[in-house]
Amino acid sequence: MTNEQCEQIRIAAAAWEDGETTAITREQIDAHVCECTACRDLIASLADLHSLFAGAERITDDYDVWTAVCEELGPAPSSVNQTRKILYVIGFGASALVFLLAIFFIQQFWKEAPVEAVQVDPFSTDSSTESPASIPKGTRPAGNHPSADESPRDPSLTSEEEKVVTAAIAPHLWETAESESGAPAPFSDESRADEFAIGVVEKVVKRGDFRFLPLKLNKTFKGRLPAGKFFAKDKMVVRIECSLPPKNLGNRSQLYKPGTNVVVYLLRDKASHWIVTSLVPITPGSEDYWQQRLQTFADVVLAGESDEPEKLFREMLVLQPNGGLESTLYHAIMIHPHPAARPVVRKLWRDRVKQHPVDPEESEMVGSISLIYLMRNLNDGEMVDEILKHALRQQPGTRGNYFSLLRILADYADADSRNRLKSRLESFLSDSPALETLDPVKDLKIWSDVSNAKHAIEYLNTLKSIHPDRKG
Amino acid sequence: MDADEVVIRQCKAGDREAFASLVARYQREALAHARAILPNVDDARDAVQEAFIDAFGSLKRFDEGCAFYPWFYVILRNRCYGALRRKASREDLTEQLVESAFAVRGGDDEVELNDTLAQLSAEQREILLLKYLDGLSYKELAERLDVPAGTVMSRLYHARNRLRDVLELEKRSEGAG
Repeated sequence: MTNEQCEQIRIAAAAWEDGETTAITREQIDAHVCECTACRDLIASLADLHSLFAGAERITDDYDVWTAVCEELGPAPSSVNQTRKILYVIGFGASALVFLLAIFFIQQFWKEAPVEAVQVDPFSTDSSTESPASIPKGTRPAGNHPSADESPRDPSLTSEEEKVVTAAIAPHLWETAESESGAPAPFSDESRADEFAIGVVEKVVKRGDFRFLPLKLNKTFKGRLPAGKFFAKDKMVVRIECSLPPKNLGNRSQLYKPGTNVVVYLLRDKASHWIVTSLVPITPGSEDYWQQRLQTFADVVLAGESDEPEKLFREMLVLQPNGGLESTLYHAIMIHPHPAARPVVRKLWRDRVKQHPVDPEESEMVGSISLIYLMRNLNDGEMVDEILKHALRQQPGTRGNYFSLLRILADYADADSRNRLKSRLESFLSDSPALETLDPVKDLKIWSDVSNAKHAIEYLNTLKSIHPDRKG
Repeated sequence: MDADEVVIRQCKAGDREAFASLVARYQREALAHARAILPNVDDARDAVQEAFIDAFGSLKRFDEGCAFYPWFYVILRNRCYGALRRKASREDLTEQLVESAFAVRGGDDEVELNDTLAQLSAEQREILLLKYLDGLSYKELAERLDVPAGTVMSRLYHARNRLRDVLELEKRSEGAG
């Protein structure tokens, strides 16, 4: 029995479980699972997933979308439908006619009236007469919403605190040597910067911006990480100690033990509000720990503080515990598409592909990493070819997953990469049976591959038409 | 005549009030669906808002014989995935990962379920929630996701497989801890 047959049976069994029918009959599935323990166990475990969602429902949000939509749509047209529009036009025309007739008759009347009576003509349309209307026609400023105060300052910070922000990003905090050079620094005592950082975190917590984490922070702050540095003007990292209410923590309880040090990443948004973007428990060996290390690496490299970024990156990957390489790679690429990481990632990718040339599970993971790599490392034609070659040698059904991912990620590709992708996909299609000749159930895998390839080409064409001059 | 159909006709004639009622009717559902793809609540709100604006501009091409929400959903998910791509390009992954929580509420263990879902890709999370929480059939899923029914079958299977793997991994790590 091949893996391919097993997978077809599993897919069909899951569909039957959902109350759908497939080309593979129930009897065929039953006959298969009688002989195949692996399939029997897997099908049973998939069926168990239903209970996971028992009682769950989607989170609701009472946000008023309309107000925002309405503002975006701009002022409403004066009429709401054609009939009413016509009525308005007729009404307006009739009023205008009555108005003009009235003027005409009044003028006729005054022409015949005594001259001394014609002193003020409130209806005069003579432009030489000083008009009482100082607002030009049709430009009366009506309906404008009072503009919100768009001050760049964070409203929760005092001006003194703002000064601390400015001071905290002063060069002496970046390069400690400078503060020793005798140049007067606004805050030579770095504890002021710590004080500021602590104040910001407290305020953020008080504002309730921890919507996504069931977390309470102790007021024991350990200072910033790495010691004595703000990463950038709008970025700050603070290490604190936290404690958590034990209930509702689920599997987080291992990570957020009382007394655990937590790294808080803060960014200033467009409106200059400090927001917490990430909260990472420093549990050595945890995935978050490595992610934090990667982030630190990215920041250090981007700040130009490492002479040998490639070496640093390599060392960090070597430290990664077994089993987490893909995850690290993924994060590395996503967080840090820095040129220093590129050759390292490329080598690791090649090693990984050599290890798992055609392996449904591994290759899918490698595939998604590859595609992200591909899209984020533009103008790397050699890699584009390698990755596509890898995608196309996958088993039927798996290739479609690559194409599907491609469709999603194609936005990142430059024109050259897109053309390469398109031509490879077209050649794949020309070597495959036409979609119309395939049965979507019986030939599920190849059908899915062909269909996904077609979708991807269509999407690539759309991108081309939208961004004809797009460059990498 | 279907209530939506009447409202949509009015919208096509440019009636803003009718469109407001359409937004009011579907905004909660749209926000909930957007959250399955975009864990960040503000991103989800932006995507829903943009999708409604797109929908208003495209209503003229909408076939009144069809249901509104499945048509709108395709626009919405395009917006959501667009936002996701933009976000990835802005290198906000850390934020995404941390905020990948609370797509669902209730259930035996809300936090655990959200944590588990957060470890799936947006596409996997989307299809699973449409299936398990909204109870959509494969045909409806195909319509919503704008893919053939065969692809739905395969994607759903892979998403479940991934979910199962994540759960097993969690169990193992709990056992080890």
